[in-house]
Amino acid sequence: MPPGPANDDDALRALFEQHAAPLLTFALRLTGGDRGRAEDVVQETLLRAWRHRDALADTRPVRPWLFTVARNVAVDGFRARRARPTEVSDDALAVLPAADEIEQALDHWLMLDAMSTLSRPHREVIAETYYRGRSVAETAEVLGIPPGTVKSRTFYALRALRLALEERGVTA
Amino acid sequence: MSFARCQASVALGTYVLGAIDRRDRAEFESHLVHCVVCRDELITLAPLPGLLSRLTLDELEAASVIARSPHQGHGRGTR
Repeated sequence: MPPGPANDDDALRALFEQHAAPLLTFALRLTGGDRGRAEDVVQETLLRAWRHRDALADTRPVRPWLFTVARNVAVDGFRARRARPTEVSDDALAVLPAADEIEQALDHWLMLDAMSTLSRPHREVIAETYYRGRSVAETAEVLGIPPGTVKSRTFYALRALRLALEERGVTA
Repeated sequence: MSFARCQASVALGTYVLGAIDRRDRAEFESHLVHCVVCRDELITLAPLPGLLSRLTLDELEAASVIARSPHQGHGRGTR
């Protein structure tokens, strides 16, 4: 990246234009729909990206990195609020989940979000084979498709799911 | 989307999810022994059942990610 304030301004603007909107959608889910906190998460995430812009220039694609950072910023936010009792009453503290539970809740949400991006046929074969525990033959009958299609569709469904998770910074 | 480099790889989906028929499973496992393409692909798909287990069928149906079945399912995910 060439040095100079003008170029820096352009680069910062480009960073916001490219990533702020999808990051906000993501952050809103992380904060349970709290727009103020979601915007804070986005600001902090893009600020960190800005600080690491030289290293990030070699990172392609950038978005999984941003989502991972946003997720960590959101978790830190949960923890910071837990550690500052002045902001919440004891009653509220008592019902707040532990750190591990927060991680689990975020992973849970990321899985749900990743699943929701799959095409309907892909979601259907995963539903029948995995969640309803049906065999290839049973799934073929329920969905009215040949067994060979069940096989190939399940394979491509899992590949699509893996990709969706990678895009969200989940690397198994 | 990249396509499988081994024709047998498509069996991996139902294999890792445990839906593959018993006879096909035996056949596919013999194939896995000597096919490095399928083994590499297996490694990338193997973590997915564990990740899927973090969601239940009820949750997926409630979120309208999966349509409620008119058939009564007795499968996993209703814990």
